[in-house]
Amino acid sequence: MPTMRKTLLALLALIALHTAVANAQENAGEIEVLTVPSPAEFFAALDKIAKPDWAAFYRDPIPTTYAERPLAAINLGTLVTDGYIAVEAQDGQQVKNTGKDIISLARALGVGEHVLARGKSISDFADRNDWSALKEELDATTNEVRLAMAAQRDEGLATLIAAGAWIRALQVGSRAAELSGEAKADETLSQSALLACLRGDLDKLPEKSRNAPAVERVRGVLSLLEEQAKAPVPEGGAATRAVLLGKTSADFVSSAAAKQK
Amino acid sequence: MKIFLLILLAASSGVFAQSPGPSPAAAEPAPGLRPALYDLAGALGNEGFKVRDGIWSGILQDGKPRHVALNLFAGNQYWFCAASSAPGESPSITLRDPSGQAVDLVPFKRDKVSAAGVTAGATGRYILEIGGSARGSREICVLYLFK
Repeated sequence: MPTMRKTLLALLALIALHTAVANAQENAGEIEVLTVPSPAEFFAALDKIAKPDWAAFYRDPIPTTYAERPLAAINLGTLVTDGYIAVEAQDGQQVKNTGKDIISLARALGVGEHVLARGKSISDFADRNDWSALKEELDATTNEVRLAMAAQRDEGLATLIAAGAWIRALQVGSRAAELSGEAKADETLSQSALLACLRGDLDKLPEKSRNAPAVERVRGVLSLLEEQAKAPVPEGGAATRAVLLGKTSADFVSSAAAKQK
Repeated sequence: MKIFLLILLAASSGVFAQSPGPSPAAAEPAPGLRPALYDLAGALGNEGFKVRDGIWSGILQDGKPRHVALNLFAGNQYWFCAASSAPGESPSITLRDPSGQAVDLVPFKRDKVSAAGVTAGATGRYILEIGGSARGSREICVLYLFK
């Protein structure tokens, strides 16, 4: 119950931002976007079908300092997804390690103080193996970072966090679908609309932000992933689409995390 | 399971009545609708459903429905909850899958609040259609949960 209350508190704190966004769009068109889903939703669907060995998707620790803020934001997003992977693997130590890196990168982006308390909660829940609460804490942590960035008028960085999280999620999800060989797992990769939505958010940024090298790279990779995700599910479960998506996303995640010279 | 959930929803009243009230009213349209929505969401949360972090609010004008896009994942279970400020009106909820076909939903209605449950059959962009029978202009709020 305390967890539920905490979640509700976090939700209420988020309402202002989301409502403002939704209402701003109200007159822009007939169909409005409610929210970008979290990687937890994607992983929940995959887990039901493919039962992946989530620990197999861990990666080596990545740098937590980047000269460019957009690059830091992208990597923060990928780390958030790493947190969900660790929760799916029910690996408390890995969750704590990832949580520390998330806070380090959030600090580098100037929003660390907003998530320090979350870091403590993540550690406590990991010690208690409370996986459900950990998912909620990761959601809440991500959203607090996004809110803080919106408050700093850094909506572009907030979108880059979401994009980074989704590209890493696609990397892992594609590999899980490929390994499972299940057509139904491959079907969960039909995310072209979501990718288009993320790209659309970046396209709306002011010209200077939109044309920053890191943002251009993300827009490019989202376009490519969008095309690859549109490919029909192949007959017999041959995982062509999963392989393509996995390679594109893995290349991007790896190059984004590479230590800058 | 559906029947169990419906019974649970029907039985839940005021479970989260002491949940924190809506903050900064000026920034939040339809604050009066939110407690009812969270009451319902809380009952579903007890069944393992997680509330997504977005809430949508808007104006429903006469019988003209509003449309909201969502990305759903095949195999996940979802509940959509909607509340209306019109006295006695429980909003109608329709869901269209990525091919535009209406999806069969498990309906639930209570004063001012409606909910609809579904297991997504396909991954992709769905359209949630919120309508109502009342006349004039009134506020509506929508949120969704997944498991």
